[in-house]
Amino acid sequence: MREKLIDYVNLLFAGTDGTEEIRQEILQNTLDRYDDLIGQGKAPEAAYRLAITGIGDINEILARPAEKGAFASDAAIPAAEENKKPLWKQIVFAIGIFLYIVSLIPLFVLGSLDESLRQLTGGVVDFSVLGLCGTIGICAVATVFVILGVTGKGTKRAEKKAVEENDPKRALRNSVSTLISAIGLATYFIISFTTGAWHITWVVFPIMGAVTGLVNACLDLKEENDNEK
Amino acid sequence: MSIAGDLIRGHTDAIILARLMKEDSYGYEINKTILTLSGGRFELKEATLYTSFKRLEELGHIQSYWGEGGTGARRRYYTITPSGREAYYHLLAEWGETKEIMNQLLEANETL
Repeated sequence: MREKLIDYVNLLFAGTDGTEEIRQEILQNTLDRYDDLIGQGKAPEAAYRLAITGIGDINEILARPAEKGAFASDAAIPAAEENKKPLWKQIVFAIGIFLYIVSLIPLFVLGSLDESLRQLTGGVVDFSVLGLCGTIGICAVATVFVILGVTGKGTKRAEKKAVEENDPKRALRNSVSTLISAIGLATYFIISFTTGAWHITWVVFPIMGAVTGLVNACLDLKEENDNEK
Repeated sequence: MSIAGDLIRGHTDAIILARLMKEDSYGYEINKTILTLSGGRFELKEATLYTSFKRLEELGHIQSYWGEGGTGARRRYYTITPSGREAYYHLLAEWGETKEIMNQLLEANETL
């Protein structure tokens, strides 16, 4: 029964940080009480129950270490913790953004070197297509990173917030995507008609997608930062 | 005990200081003394006791140290500081006044 009591107290403090000394002290006091009750001839079961009752409301204590001001409310503590975004998520998010930016490199480099590379390899491989595949591939990976980086409690709340009260931000996002689409479409037709290079001008569309993603990611990041403040 | 309990609990800090005026002590021993002195009618919950310890420690009224008890168990002992003694006398005087006022207020036969 004494073991059970130790387990009980340990469980009370499971998942709390910086409470090791508190746990030791409460555990010792509780064990003292238990031993005392046993010494008075109480049955182990009864002593166990009385010792547990004697602990009282542990939240009274757990609320204190995180409490900075004397009047900080209990509710403020978990909220602050939820808002904190784990470092790995921030890093993953940053990698995602980075990949979006570098994703254009294979497209441009292989696209511009297409002629010379084609001569080198005897014209078997279409390097502009290869470059495009590279770009799309990197974009796909970048998207995965960004999604991994932004999902989680903090972001869900941020999204909810955006729907509930930050409609201007949502509107900004929509107008930016619309603007990018319009410019992209115009560019596509202008370039295609002036150069007649229809076979390659369609790359404007995946580029558009990448730019939209990048802009959205930047807005996400900005919103996150705003929320943290 | 519930109404009186709440009233007494409001003076937890003073009660602990009073115990430590006598000698250094640890959580359960203090609680045990409180139980004995109150004739088995009152005792504190561990959580309440601990919260009070922390508060008094932050105020500099008490200090703590780890000590070995008779059974070899590691216990956190508390000792009162000079400012704690001062606080104790202050609270004691305050209680004296409260008691006097309450006696007057609750006296039914008093004619003005």
